[in-house]
Amino acid sequence: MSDLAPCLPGAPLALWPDLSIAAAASNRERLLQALQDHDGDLALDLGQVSDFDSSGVQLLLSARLSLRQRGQALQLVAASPAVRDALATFGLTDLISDLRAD
Amino acid sequence: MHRDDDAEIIAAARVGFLDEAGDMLQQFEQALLVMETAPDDAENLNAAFRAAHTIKGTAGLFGCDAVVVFTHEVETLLEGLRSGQLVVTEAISAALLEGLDQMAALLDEVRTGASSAEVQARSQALGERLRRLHGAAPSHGTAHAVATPTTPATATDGAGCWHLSLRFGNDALRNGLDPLAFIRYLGTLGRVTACHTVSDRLPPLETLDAESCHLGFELRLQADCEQAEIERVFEFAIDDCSVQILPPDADAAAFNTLLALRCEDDPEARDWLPALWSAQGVTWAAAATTEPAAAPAELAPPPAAAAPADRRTGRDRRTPGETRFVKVRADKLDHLIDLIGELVIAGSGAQMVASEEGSVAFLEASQRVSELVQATRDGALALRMVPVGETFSRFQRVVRDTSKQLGKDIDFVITGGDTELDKSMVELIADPLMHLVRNSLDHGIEVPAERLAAGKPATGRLDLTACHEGGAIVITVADDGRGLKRERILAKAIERGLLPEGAMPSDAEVWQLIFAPGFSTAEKVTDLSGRGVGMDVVKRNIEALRGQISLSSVEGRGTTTQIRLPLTLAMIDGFLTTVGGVHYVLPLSVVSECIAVPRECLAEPERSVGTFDLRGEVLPYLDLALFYGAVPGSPPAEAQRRSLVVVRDGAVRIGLVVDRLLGEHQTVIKPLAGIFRHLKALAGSTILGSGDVALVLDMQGLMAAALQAGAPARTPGWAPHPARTTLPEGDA
Repeated sequence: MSDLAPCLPGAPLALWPDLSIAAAASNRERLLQALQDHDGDLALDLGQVSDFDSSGVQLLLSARLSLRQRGQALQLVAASPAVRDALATFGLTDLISDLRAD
Repeated sequence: MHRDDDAEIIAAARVGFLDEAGDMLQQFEQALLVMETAPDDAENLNAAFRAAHTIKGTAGLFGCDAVVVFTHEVETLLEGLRSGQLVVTEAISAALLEGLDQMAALLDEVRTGASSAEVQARSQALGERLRRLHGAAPSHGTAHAVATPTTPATATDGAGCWHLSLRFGNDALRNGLDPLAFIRYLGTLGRVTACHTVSDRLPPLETLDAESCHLGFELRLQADCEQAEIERVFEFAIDDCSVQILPPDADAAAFNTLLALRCEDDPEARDWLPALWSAQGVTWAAAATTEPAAAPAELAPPPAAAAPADRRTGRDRRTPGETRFVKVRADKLDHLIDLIGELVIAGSGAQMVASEEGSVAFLEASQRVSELVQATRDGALALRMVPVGETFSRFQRVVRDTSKQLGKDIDFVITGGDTELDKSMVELIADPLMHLVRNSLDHGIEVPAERLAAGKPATGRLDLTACHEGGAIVITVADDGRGLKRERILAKAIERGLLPEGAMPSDAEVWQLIFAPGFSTAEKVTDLSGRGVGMDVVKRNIEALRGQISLSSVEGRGTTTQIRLPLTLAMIDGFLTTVGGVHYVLPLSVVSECIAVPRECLAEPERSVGTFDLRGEVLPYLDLALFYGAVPGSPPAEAQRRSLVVVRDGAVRIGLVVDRLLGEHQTVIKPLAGIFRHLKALAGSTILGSGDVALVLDMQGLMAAALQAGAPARTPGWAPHPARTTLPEGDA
């Protein structure tokens, strides 16, 4: 999927194009790996996500929960329209509130 | 959802959806038409509503947003009618019918995958019109609305806020239920003013099963709708989602019940859930002031608990209709028919072997088998039979629209709608029939004033009738309009050179001119008689189905067009004959009797056509051997055994001289390839049990040839069938 592994500390992890139930398990593995690889905040680049459903939302929330438990935060550095739309529908605008509206 | 086989399943389901939507549209149309005549029929309104709602619901599942959004507008207006807020007016029913067309157009776009800006714009405009009609309720309606207690009079914008509390089950995602889709879909009912994702059951990433669903939602829906409508949104998810719906006027007790249900023994949730509700704008007395522990037992069951039962009864009501039919793909059925066709051929092969072997037991066995094959053939063909009424009812709309448009008052009467016809034929006759119906509407039936002046009732009558007659179906389109002007047609035909000067054709021959190509484009006749527009095309289409079309008319009294069609195109009971060593099959249904070759024919053995005397009646005959140019000078012994088959097609009878009669034969008609198109009067070929090929005769072609050859004495040079003017002898 992406050639960013292993992630440099601070470099955003890009998940794309599929953040739906079909790829949920493998995306979880990648997120988990990223959490274990560095111990700072986790930055995600979702700018190229074309398929996004409730399982994707759930992954983000779950990752955020894990991060919070160790006192860190989840940051989205980019979000595709599909992601923005879904999060807005779910009332989860706080996840994308830092993003510029580009 | 993105794997190939899933995509395949979805594609297949989509086809099913489109199919069902087509049926629903038809039901919807039917209900709308009934609504015009019986606006107070509540059951009918319900049927219309149900049809529209089903289309919306399934379209939503397949993500056809354009269909959902537009159908919602239609449904809203219907709901207004159903609840008595609105009364049926001409404007409303016209708008609904246009809405129906628009839904069909949108579904078409789903089918083809295209999308045009024009359709989109129409959706917008029509949607607005429907909304306006709903808003601009007549005074009667407004009074009604005020009296209806369910209509919320709270918020400034008129619609109350429902509270929905959803908790999706672990398997929701695996079962293909995406909470996101449900919440988006709620947006079609009204406006989701607040949505909060409840993730208190969500584990951290380390222990998360990414395919399980741990999400819940608390949301506010501002919508002017019935609770049942909201419940229906979750109908498919009832096993995978706990849904609680609180109406806009829900009191504190209802929220307390909900709180008890959602929090159970989680004290933390007892704190944040009420806070969340308050933040969402729920005006709700704090739970602390009441006694929460007592609440669940005392209060009425939560609304959603009652809902599944309702739904179940709703489904039960529909069950009888649904289980009466099995939907089968047409190509599977075609394949079955093909196989049975082969079975028929193989069966007659076996029978032939049996009779050659001379074994009585074998003969009996093969006889039994072929009887069963015949029964199987009939059964399989019956599977393809559908009532013709479905096609007929389509015209109701045309009649309604056209008569409104032309200011005519027309009584459209359908008789024999349950007459059955092969499915492929039903589809193929729809267009020609439409043409005939339109002709009657446009040109046949006069405007009321003209009718009254002619001493006829102001309301015109258009009859569409179907019935079985022998092995054929007869469909009649009859109007009581102004009829055809015989002299005009005659004059025009002479002018155009279709008839010689001074010809005196019979009435039937004059009417048949209407179908002549070239005649149809004659503007003057078209204007005056109002017929003939593309009638040659209609005739060609009908003849392609081995059918016939005839027309009769009385000036000032009306016109009747009759179509005769064989029941099926694939297999017939045939009558096998040989001519000059070649096998020919006649449809058994046309054979009326077989006699020895009469003296008249024997007297002139060189003539291929002539006339003979059948019990005092003069009939034309055709010598097939000469007609098809068989090797002349057959042995005299053979000639002695020749016979004449009298065939009847409608009212016309002719004789066919053949060499030998071989008797009944189950015939599977195979079409002739294009290079044989020019052959005269052949409908196709078939394979005999022996493996020989037999040719299936086309009755109309033969009759035309015989009648035409018999005619010259009366009207020299005139050919009633210009397409078939080239006659036999030479080119065979």
